[in-house]
Amino acid sequence: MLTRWNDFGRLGRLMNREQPEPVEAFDLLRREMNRLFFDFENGGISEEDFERGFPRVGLEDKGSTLVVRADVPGLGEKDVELTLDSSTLTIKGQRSDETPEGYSAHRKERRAYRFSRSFQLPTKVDTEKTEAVIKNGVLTVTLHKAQEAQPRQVTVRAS
Amino acid sequence: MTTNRFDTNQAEPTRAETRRVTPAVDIYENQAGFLILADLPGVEPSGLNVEFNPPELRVRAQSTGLSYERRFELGSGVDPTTTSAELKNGVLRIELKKSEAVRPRRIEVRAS
Repeated sequence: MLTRWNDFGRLGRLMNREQPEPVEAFDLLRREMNRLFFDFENGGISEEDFERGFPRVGLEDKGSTLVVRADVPGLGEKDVELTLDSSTLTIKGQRSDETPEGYSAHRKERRAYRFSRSFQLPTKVDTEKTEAVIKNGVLTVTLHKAQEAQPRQVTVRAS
Repeated sequence: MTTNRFDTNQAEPTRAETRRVTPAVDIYENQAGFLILADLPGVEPSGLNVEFNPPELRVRAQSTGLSYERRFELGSGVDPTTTSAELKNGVLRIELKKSEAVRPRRIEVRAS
């Protein structure tokens, strides 16, 4: 007989029974079961993260370029859309996360998401030179600062 | 249109700043086996380590500045020789087949 488990409470009860059914040989249990929700620092995504902004997007100023990074696991190049004007970057994306066909879900921490976030860039950028790459679920956008925003080297002369 | 502040101002990550992360996972079951999906953004196949020492399945991965780890305990219902793992777009997919003993069997009913 195949027992279908709907939740971990049921799983817990099944495991405590004296005569295990064959299917109970499966106890795909995580050690830290009580931690259903994590804050973003710990990896998972909570409702709070969605309110705060998802995905987390970081900026690195590399002098002549600005590098923007976003963690977007499961997204490929076709799932992300970028819009840029001289000082605003908008990132849109979508991931559908349905239960694979023919499976029942024991645990679903990963979630479907659809996001659109706009960022004010700290300097004007040359919109023609932007490069965007998505690799291993990380989106990296390299923006070249506009000429007037480029760092300048000042030569110090002996007087 | 509202604009956001960036969430982090990233400096070059250093080894000392490696952050430990518990990846989000999905666990699915069908009649033949189990499927585990884990979000591991930024992880290259070379930075991924999946070990199955029954009953423990351990996933460890590294990406720049991050260290992911998650452990699962699997019962004897899983055939350890049939595990497969695949990494795509920062999502790890592990498939595990149930051992013969726990797989439901279809019994043909014939007309007599």
